[in-house]
Amino acid sequence: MRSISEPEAAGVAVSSLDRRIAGLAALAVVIHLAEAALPSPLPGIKPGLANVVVLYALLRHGLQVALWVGLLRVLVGSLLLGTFLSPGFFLSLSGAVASLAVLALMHRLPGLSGPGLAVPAAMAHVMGQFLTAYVWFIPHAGLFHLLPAFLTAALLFGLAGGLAVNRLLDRGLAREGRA
Amino acid sequence: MTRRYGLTRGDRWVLSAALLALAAAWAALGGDEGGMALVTQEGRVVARLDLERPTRLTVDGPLGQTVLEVAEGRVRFLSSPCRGQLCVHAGWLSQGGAFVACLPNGVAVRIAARSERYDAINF
Amino acid sequence: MIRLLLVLSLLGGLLSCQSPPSVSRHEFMAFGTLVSLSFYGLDGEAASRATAAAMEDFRYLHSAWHPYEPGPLGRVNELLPLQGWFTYPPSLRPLLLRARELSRASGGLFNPAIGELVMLWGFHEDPRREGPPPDPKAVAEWVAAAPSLEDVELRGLEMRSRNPRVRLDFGAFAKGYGVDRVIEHLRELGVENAIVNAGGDLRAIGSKGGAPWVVGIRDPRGPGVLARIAVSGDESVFTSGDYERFFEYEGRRYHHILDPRSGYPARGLVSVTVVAGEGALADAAATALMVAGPEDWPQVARAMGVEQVMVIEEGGGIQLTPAMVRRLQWEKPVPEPRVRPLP
Repeated sequence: MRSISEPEAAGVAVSSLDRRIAGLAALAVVIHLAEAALPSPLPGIKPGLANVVVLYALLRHGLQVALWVGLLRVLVGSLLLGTFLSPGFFLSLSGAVASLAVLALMHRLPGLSGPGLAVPAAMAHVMGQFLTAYVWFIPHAGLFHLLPAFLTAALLFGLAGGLAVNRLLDRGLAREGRA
Repeated sequence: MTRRYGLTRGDRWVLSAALLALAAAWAALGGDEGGMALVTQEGRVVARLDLERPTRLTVDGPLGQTVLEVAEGRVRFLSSPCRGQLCVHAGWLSQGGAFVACLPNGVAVRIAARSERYDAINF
Repeated sequence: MIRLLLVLSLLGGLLSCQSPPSVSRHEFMAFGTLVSLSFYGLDGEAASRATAAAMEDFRYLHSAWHPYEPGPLGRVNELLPLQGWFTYPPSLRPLLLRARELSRASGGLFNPAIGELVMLWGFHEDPRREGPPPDPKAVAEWVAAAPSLEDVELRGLEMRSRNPRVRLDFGAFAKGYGVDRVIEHLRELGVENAIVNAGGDLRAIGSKGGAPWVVGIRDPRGPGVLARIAVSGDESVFTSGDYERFFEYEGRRYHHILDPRSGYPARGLVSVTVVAGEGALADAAATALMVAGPEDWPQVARAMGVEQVMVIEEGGGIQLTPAMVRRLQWEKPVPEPRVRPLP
């Protein structure tokens, strides 16, 4: 992250917060692109690794950073993929908004770590996408036949992602402790 | 925060709730997967066929016996004593709300699904 | 904890959105076909009361309007060939007047004075008695006599025919007219959201709790549904097709929609679907456009005042009016439809 050129030269003051957001968002975008490029065995079901970055941002740096990272990921990712303002973009956006809303509501609850936040966020992501898909694109009750399968995938990937965030945070803390 | 298997006590609560919601989702929507065919004769329901269970059903009507066949989640009129044979030509039915009747023999088959695709069929 | 509950109740709320809507469906045989009623938001008792009323209406109308069985219209048909004045049942008057308007608008292609031709072809019996098509000479004689509703004079509650070959058969629009009467009756009973579907021809009023009723139009030649159309408010969807009643003789197929100009089954089209407010209009127009054929139907549609039409040609081609293009959603791949603006 240090290798990013110092934008102060352009006359804009860049805080360390900005830099953190930029770094994490860049990481999330790269993962987003990689996931878009990888074929999925089940159409529409993806592990949502980019959301791991968002959750990490939330737990490490707070809600504000997580919101930025989550929304930038969708926006920049779609610009790079050329899907900006396409149906896929709105599906992506509504999923991100729904999961960020759940994270915003739940992150202050005591006693929750990565999985306790990632699982509801992932399920909200799926619900947000389904609702948008239903209202805007496929107003057909048959769509909801697919919902349980998607929610199940969300639960599993959310759990895995949440555990991964826990380990990342633990390591980070351990490293800081050593330093 | 103490964790067991990487999960805090709060995580486990949330996870349990999520599993419950998931079970409810499967229960609420899973029932729709296997469709049901409603067989009526002169307006009276004579059978409900589970489309996932291959079978044959013979229905008696004023003209004779109408034979229905269920296979691979679909149902059709296999044979009919009527002259027009429109019901037999209609072929397989599988979509919710789909409907075929043999008026001469008074036998009607309708695919019932909880979320029907159409409210009515025009022909 | 309160937030958690909030989130979970939100999840629950989203899931319960998919619980089945309160649509009830009731089916019975009447009018020589299967009648299906759908009600939205009507409790069980009100729904069965409405169903009983509709069933009674349909059965009464069937006997009152049957052209070939003893009954009000059957008796009229016995008396018409005598060409003298006679008193006809008052209940037939509105039917006759509306039929005459529609027949005039269609330029005679919808012709309710066609009963004798129907009998020549044997379509008055259900099922039709096996046998060849009629003697071409007999058909030609009927065409030369050209019976029409213009031959029928009405004077108050008396009528007479100036043409001995007039025999009334409202088959081409009785279903639509009957569905209209039943809808009227249901409204009087306080039913606001319903579909009355008489053997595939239907009128829908209100909506399904704000969502439109979804009607699938069956593919006339293949299995399944060709297109769907969302209807709400008050609309009728009627289809006339060559597959409804037909017989085969020596390898040729003869269907029941007869062209009064030739005396033979209409040619060129497989089916015509009309969407209009009034069921009687949609029904009569679907028949008249079938008779008009693949080139001339737009003029007849304009003359009858229907704007939403889909016709399917014998070759499988599809023609649509511009107003219909906006209404249909295809449910299977179709050849590029030809859009026919009305003149």
